[in-house]
Amino acid sequence: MTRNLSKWFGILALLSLPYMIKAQETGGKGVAQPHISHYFHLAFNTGAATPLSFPGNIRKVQHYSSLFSPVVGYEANLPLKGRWQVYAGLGLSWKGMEVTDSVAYLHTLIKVDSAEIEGDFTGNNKTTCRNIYLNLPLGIAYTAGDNWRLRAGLYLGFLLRPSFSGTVSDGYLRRGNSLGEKITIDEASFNFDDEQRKFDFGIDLAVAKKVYKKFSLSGNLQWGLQPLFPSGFKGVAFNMYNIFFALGVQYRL
Amino acid sequence: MKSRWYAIVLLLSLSLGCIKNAPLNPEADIEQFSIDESLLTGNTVIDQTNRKIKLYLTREAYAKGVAPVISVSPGATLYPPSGTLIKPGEGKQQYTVTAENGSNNKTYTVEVSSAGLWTFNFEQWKQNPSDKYEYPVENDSLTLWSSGNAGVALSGVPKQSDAYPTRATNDGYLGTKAAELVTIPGTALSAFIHVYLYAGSMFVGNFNTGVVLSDPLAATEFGQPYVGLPLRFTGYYKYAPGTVFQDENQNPVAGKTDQCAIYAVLFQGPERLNGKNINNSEKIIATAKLTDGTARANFTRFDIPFIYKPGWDSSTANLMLAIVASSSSEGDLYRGAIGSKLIVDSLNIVAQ
Repeated sequence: MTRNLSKWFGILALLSLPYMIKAQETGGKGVAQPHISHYFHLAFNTGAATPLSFPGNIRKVQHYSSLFSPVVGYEANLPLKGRWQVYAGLGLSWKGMEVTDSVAYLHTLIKVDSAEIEGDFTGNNKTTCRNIYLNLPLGIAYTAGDNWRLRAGLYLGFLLRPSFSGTVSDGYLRRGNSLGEKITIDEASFNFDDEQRKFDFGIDLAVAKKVYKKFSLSGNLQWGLQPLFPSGFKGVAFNMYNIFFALGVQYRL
Repeated sequence: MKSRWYAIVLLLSLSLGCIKNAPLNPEADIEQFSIDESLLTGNTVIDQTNRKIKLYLTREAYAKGVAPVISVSPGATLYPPSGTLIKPGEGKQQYTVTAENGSNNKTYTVEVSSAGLWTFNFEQWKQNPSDKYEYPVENDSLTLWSSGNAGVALSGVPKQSDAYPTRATNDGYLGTKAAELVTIPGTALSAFIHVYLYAGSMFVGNFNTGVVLSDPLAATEFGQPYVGLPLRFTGYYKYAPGTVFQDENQNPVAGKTDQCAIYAVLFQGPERLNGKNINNSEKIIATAKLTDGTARANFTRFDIPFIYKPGWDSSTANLMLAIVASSSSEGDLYRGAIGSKLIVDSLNIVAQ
């Protein structure tokens, strides 16, 4: 179901771009019609692949960084009526984080090829996630006065380069579940790169304020509505969502 | 400005106020099981894998009973409580631990071990219910032998008996069952901890899965209490080394052929020896070791005398004896040839 949905969203978004450009070309012939505006974005993401509320199994977050997570993109705005426009964009978005935390009785299953081990882990966890998505936002934009522009819609993300790995250390694994035998772990690594879903979607909200000529400062929240890992995946006991806020500049062509 | 506010609100919501109260402890282990050392012939084993308490009691303690001092997981409760007198001679004795969270509990069964006759024909085997590896049991269904199988299980091999390096075979001496030890490749998971090979191994003793990742050589706890003095170690074996010997980093070693290892060690207990000191401990009193571990196509009998250390103290208490067999003599260092196969049968310790 989700896969079909993603396909349709993707096709819709891709199709909408040339139409807008086409619309601009025809619109340019004599008759005074509002022009399509084009924007280029450069921003940096702050955020995390995170559970919506921290489960009790996460005891302490010792360190967090959003890594170097740039966003580059192009956005087209097609005037609708008055101050309203529709927008569609295309770009690349790095969604990264590095988290070190202490966990207790966290259920996990590690599977590599045909070998797997499942159990409850207590100890330290370091997760590094640095996914690159093809990012397609689309929705409705509103211009407030000369300087402000707001937009609200959905984004679609296609995972181009997956990266989700880490280590567990200074703890122990309970084989199977919390009643299993205790196996001391000094350090072991995990890699869930290819376990992740290839498609992400969510809410896209942005605000931009013109600061200098064609330059605006922008803030863009992308709140994922779909867990990073499919429901059958048991490596992480809770659902994680991509929740990222990109702060940057945009240039109006 | 608005954008900054969004950012601040978002970051606050992500980083603060999200840590919840600690969940109640779901664990229900017997962590320590202490009995006065004077009542023991060997140290108590808490077998967490099979939920057994293995006691090695003096005859007197067995008759009178013991009152172990027991500690359990934080917050958990124990029944019968610590300090209660138990008489293992008077029927099955069990302990139930209930976790702090109330919903988890675990039952441990007390097993009083005593090796009577040190003769092992490996005719009876059982299968671990969850991981499906096989292990030999004695006529009275006690388990004196252990293997590395429980450790291999952690590397995620398929749950079937022939996926493990130590198992039963019908190709025994005179057509009976025997123990088959085969050196197998590691798994994609074991490669994470740089283990590329598992030698087939079995030994009289216990396997402590708790330390198998952090201190693997300490996981093999060799030896069981022994009464008397052993004279000779006899048995039958056949051995076919694998074709390519590899070092611990999976590199082939040209010109080297794998060898098997079969030996018995008498030492001073009640603490067991392990993979780190079985060859060099000060506590070793006598050893009987197969010197030629090369190929044997047919069953070959061995009869090796125990060689006692000069000047050993004949009044030593708590003697323990270990028997160890491996399909790759350097298997403890993860070196050997994949496919090396050792079959052992009819092992016997001849006493004075």
